[in-house]
Amino acid sequence: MTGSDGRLVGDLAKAIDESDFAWSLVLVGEDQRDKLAALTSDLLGKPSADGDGKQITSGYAYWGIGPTIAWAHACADPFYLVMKQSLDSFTRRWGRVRGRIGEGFHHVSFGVGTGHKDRLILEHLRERNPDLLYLPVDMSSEMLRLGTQEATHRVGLRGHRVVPVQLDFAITDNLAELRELVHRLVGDEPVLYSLLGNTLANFDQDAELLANLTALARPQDLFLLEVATTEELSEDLARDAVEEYSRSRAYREFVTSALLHNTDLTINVDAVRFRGSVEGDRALKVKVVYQNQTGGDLLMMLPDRSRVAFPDRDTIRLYLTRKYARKALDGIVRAAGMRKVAGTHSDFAVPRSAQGFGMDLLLLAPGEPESLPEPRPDDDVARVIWEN
Amino acid sequence: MTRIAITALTFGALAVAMALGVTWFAVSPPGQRWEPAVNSLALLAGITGIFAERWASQREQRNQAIDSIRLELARNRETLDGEAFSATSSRGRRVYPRLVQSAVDSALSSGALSPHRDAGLIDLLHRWRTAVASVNRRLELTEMLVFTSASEEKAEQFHAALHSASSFFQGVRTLLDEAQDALDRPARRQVS
Repeated sequence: MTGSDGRLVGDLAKAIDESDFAWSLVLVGEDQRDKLAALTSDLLGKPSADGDGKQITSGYAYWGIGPTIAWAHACADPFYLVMKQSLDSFTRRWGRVRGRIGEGFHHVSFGVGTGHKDRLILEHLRERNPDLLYLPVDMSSEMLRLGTQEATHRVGLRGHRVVPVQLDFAITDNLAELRELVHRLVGDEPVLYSLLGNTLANFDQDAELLANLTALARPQDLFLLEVATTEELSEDLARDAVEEYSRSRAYREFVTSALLHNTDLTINVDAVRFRGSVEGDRALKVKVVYQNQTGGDLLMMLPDRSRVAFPDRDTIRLYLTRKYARKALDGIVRAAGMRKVAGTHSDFAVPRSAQGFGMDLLLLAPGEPESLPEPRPDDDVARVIWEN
Repeated sequence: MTRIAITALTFGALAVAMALGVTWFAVSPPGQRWEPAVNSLALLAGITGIFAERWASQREQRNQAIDSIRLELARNRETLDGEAFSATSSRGRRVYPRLVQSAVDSALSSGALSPHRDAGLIDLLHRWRTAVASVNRRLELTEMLVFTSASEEKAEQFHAALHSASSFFQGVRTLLDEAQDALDRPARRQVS
């Protein structure tokens, strides 16, 4: 880079810092045409009555201004329990784990969300690192704009220390590029990565995604993970989970908004169906599907003007979510090559929620769990004093 | 006995005065009823004011007690999350920080918590208090045995026992989670 290039970057940073206008400098790592092609391809799946054919995968549910606004509305809906409880109890849960985060951390946030949680994190980190760099990462530029504004509101971060990155972090190659970018920006200084709001549960290959994301963490880095959890797994509880999501009309409007935004279908929110199941010994799984209940075959036009048959009773999977078994969390974390540094749990404190549903916030670090030496026979005194 | 007599005398006098006031109002000619009316209403306000003040005072005491317990639990959380109790901390001899329970003791002994409304919370705080006393005692024993032993190995043995999965310490952490959750919930949830 020449001297004049350096001056240009410096001038740009200065212009952003000194302006009252809400400029945001976004690094775009996505070719929107590729994303559109992928979305179109996902909607060309075979007919299925159970949401196993056509689908809208995780990031696309928030792609575009329509879905972004619908999601912001859904988050404010008291009937969307996971999100409401997650937001309400985050301050308390964060307060219990933040003491384990040291000095000088930067923050990389996967899926920025409404930005409320990131703001709490940034306030804490900035007290310990005034030169903190904040990189929110999301596939949707609209979500980035919405979340970043809230996250940095009154935190006192200078504009050029906020670098939103538009990138689909579900793609492994993208993560390799992101890793290089982050490491070049922060050097050897530690980074707190975060994946909050039960975002992990929205991905088909959630274990693989977590392993890929946590692989970014170096020994000095930490990873903050928030997931919805359940104490037990059973078909009855899967039905309770379905019931929990199906109560919120704003949530139904959000999940259908991607369809409204990207097809010419006339949306009927009552055609949204929820299918609950138990996923092995690890989670309750809820698939949200849109079913053709018109009694006849439909043709829907996709963004590239191609027309796709949407036969009677066929479905489009709109959203996938899970509630992880608390007992399975240690295994999930270990499989991702991480160990738990601290963790907190919060039950859903509302009478209409099923018993045992809640949110867990885990602070993870790379590496195996600390193995403590097994007490030997001559350790009797210590064991007698400290055993229950 | 004296207290009951004084209470009975006070409320008896107020009740008689109230009855006389009402009678005075009833027998007074229509143009002269202002004075007995004002007198009776002032007496009524005096009687209800006693109870209102008592309730407000109880409520304030309860809120103060809950706030101090909350602060104390947060301090205990910091202690437990601190370096001294970390599984990765140094395994040598050391003096451990202690958990504190003075706000809990004070709330339980002052009667600031209601035995009906806060029954669940009181039970939880009693269990927490017992656990804190127990853990502090175990820490004393640990320090005494570690410092009086010539072997460095002793400190390692206690470190391993303290952080083992079946350690009493893990139960204390869970109990602290429960107590903080109970305090953060609305009051109606604390009863259940």
